[in-house]
Amino acid sequence: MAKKIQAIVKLQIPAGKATPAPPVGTALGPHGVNIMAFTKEFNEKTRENVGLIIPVVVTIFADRSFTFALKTPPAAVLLRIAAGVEAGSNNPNRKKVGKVTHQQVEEIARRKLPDLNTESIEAAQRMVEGTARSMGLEVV
Amino acid sequence: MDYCEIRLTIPPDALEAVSNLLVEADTGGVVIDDEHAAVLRAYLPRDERLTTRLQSLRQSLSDLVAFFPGLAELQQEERTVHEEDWANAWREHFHPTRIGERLVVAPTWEDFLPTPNDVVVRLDPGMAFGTGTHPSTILCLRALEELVQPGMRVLDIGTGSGILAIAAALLGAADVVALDNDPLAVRVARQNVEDNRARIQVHYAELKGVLQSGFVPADVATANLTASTLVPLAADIAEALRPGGIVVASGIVGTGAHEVEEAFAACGLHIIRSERLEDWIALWVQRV
Repeated sequence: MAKKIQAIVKLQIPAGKATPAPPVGTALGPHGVNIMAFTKEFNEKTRENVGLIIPVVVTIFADRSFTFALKTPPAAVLLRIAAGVEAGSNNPNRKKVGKVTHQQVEEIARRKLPDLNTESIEAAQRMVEGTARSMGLEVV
Repeated sequence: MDYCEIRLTIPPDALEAVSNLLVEADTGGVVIDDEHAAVLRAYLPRDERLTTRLQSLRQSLSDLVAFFPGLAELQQEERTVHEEDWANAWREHFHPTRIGERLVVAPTWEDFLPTPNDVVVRLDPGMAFGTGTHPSTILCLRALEELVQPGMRVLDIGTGSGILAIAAALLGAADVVALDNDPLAVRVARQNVEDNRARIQVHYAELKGVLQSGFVPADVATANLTASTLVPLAADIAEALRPGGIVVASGIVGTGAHEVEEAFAACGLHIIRSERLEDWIALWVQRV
């Protein structure tokens, strides 16, 4: 018999460095999940990506056990890598910090599509493009 | 510690951009609820920097309106969350659990009537790792049941809640030393040791520090850590064991077992048994 699902929680947290503090504690604690058990398992499974933010979907079952699935890095992380910049602009309206091509935007959109709440590649591309501009990246 | 919860209801196309902004604001991460609308939650400690941080967050969000016009109608709510509201919520679901032939782990706040053969570890793990329900801990407890003989010297590296050290003491070990480099874990472990009336020295220290202060090598050791923390400890673990002594190295997943095996072999530690529960592996390793 399949285990009954009680809740699904989506988080974006630092690989290898999750702690029981919020947002992990506040997101999982009220569902009866042993927070330290989650952080231990998450940190072990993401230890090779320390420095990256990783989206994770935690499925909590009625018996308080849980599983989780790691997702592709956030669009912003993929954009920073594509543009070769360390961080986004702190004033994206005026200060541009780098460039990404339309092709790179499309590649990122395709990579992210399975994790997004849309099936339209055009919508995914618009989202990635908007994210790029909001970080002070020009799309060329 | 109290936190300020910031809850933002945003247009779905701005989800990636706003979560990036929250992460870059050093919030430690975000909770995303995109089932119906896109709702993001992030947390900042309620301290003297809060006002400034909230102001700069609002400024950054308003800068984003140029790129996501829908953000002009952003709904932003703030409320205070108290640590006690979430830190202890899972306790309600922790009940006495039989681990091996004799060992039972029972929360301190619940009644449990043991049979004459039972060895009962009373536990209030608080926020420290080790409730006895995690596969890596279960594998260690079962190993202790087999390995610990009355009178032995046992070392527990990374004791967390103290569960393994206490189990070893209750199983008859004469001399148990536990250590952790997390002060919170040490506090929780000492309380649990006291609750179980066990005689265990709990050190707030790294393994190296304990070895340098005249440590007598152990018959059995447990290291319920992770592959990445076990590898650099290999030499120290070898030093902590008497010849023929056994360490149970747990908390390992997937390819981590090979890395641990290689690092241990280089220090004269050889795998004699490998136990698996769900995705987790515990290696029984003997010093030659």
